[in-house]
Amino acid sequence: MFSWLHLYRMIPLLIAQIVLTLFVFFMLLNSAAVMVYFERKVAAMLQQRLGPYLVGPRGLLQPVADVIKLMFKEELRPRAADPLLFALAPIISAAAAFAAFAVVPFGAETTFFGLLSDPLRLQVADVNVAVLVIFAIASMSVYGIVLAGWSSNSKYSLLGSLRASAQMISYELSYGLALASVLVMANSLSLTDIVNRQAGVWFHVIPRWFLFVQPLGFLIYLTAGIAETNRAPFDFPEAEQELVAGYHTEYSSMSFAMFFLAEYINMVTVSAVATDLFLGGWHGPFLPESLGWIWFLLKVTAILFFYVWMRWTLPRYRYDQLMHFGWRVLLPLAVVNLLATAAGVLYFDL
Amino acid sequence: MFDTNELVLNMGPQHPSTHGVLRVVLRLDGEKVVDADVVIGYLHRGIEKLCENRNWTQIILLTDRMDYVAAATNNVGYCETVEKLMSLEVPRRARYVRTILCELQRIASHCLWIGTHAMDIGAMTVFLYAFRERELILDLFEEFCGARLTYNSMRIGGLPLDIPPGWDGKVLEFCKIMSSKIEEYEELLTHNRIWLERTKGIGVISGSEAVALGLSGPPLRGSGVPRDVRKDEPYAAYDEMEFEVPIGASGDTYDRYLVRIEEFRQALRIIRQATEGLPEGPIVGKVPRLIKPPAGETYHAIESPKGELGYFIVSDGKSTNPYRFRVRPPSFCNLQGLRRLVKGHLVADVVALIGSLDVVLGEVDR
Repeated sequence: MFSWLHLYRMIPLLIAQIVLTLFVFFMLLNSAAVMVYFERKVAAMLQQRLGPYLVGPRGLLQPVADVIKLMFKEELRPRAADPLLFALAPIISAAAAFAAFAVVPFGAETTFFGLLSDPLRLQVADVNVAVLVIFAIASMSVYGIVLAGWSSNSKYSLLGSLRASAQMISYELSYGLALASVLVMANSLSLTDIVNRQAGVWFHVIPRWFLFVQPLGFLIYLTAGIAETNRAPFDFPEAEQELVAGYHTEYSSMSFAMFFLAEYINMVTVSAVATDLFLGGWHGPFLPESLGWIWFLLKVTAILFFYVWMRWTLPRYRYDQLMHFGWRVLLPLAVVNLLATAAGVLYFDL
Repeated sequence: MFDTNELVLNMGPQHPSTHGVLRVVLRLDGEKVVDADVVIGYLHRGIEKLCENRNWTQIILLTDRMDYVAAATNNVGYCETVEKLMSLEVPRRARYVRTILCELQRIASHCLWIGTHAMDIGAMTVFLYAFRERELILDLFEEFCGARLTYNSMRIGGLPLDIPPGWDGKVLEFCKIMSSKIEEYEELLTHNRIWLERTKGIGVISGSEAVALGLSGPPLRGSGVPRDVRKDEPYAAYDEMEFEVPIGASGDTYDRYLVRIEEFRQALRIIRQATEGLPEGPIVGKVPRLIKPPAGETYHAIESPKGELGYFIVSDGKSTNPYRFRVRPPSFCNLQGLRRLVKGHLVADVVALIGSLDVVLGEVDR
């Protein structure tokens, strides 16, 4: 029987859940801003320059200035563009980017210092097939890119979106297989379970992270993750020197900002998922479980730094070379890795 | 109605990597280039015609504006042509300083090339590293003649002024810095797997074909033809310098890259020799007050950073300006090879190939 009392007891948890959802949304927006600043500063360090330093103390308000500038720009649309799809494409990209993070856990259960009677998971939605959800939604974001390129009715955009679809086909298989080997090891599709499988240490020193049993899988995941987020050296869909700006050549103002936002949030999501799958999520020494999110943030930052570092160091691949690389190198490696993992689990009960 | 198999892509004149205002009309099959039409003329200022209406000294300043990233080399080429026309003797010290300036300019120009070439292929950081060193050269030039880009740093018969005190020491110090920085560029690129895949086997051109197309400079030497005006028809003080002419083997983008990297080192070698052996003496030869070459015509070529830079000048012997002034710009002739090079490659390679030819549109259009 439906009990009012039961509902009453649920209310604090419900409010906490809503607050958490809004908080995650807000922090994702912020993370994009912080990433812009972080990327510009790191790039400046690598290139022996100063980077932004005029707006606010140490240039900290630069992302705010960028956003304000973009908001006041005129929204332009080519006359020959398809109005509906042209408007829809950035929304798909941004929405997919936000949605994918919903199932990513970023901390252990907490009662917020005893405020709640029942512990709350630091995660917007605990889905028991979280990995599949992320995989599905991440693939959706490519539709944003393809539609943007097609609806702009511009040649550079079209080439950019064609490259995006070619790229997606070549990396997603190995991306999925790299994930699969972790799933086999964890025996679960829920990210929370996968993270909890990585708690503890081996021989009192080595953390039980999947990174140490799946080094190859981790590398494949990272490489495919760069392709997934369209970052250099795999940034063909928007290769500035070749295609001007690729699929978002014709976009301006906030619709351009949406693509920009989507790119950075995708980076954060890919790094967060990598942290959960391979780096033990919020588990780490020295800190109590309830402060695990600090570890989580540190690990995500380390992976993001790696992405930024790669972008400003390496030349760009050619898109047919990525396809060769994806099919001939990455995919066989991922298959071998998965088979070896499966054999290991089956015979040695890893 | 439309040919559905080909996409005509108009690349430039406003495009991030056409090095100025080059326009390339590409006919694409997918991303494969079927044909390319190179359109030039967006930077035409009529410099050759302009020169026919200026007196012989004023022209030096106009030559600055052709290859504006290697102005000193242009000055040297022009002054030597007029000196040849007038059979003027240039003092040894002036020839040595010219050699130093030419080689510094070569390094500055190659710095700009490696920066933009690497950026076209997506390696952004090299650009800032190379410009950091180019800045040092510009400082040296600023100290020598007061300008940082358009130097106007030569006079017919010699130099406008002697080198400032202590300048030669600074040049040697720069050589020391630069030789370690070349290693830095090489670390980032030479053995980089992506760089190799992007440049090896791209835009292969054989030696004979390169000669037939009239290529010169690193694009020609990359194909294995050891043609260098500095060695073959020495000018300035190159006959007294010891240096090697690097050549490539297969004539692809990677070889052209290696040739230029080696030219960095050879340029440093020449600068060191010339600075250390800088003779004393006057800086201007015996030049008449009014420069009025005798009637006649002459062609004189020098090795600019881009290739063979030649001046063909006709003097009627009566007026104080040339009767006909014609430049053989290396960028213009090298750009002719682009159509041949890009065929069958992808869009991404087109920008790599434009960068690999190292053209300056100011010189192409004049």
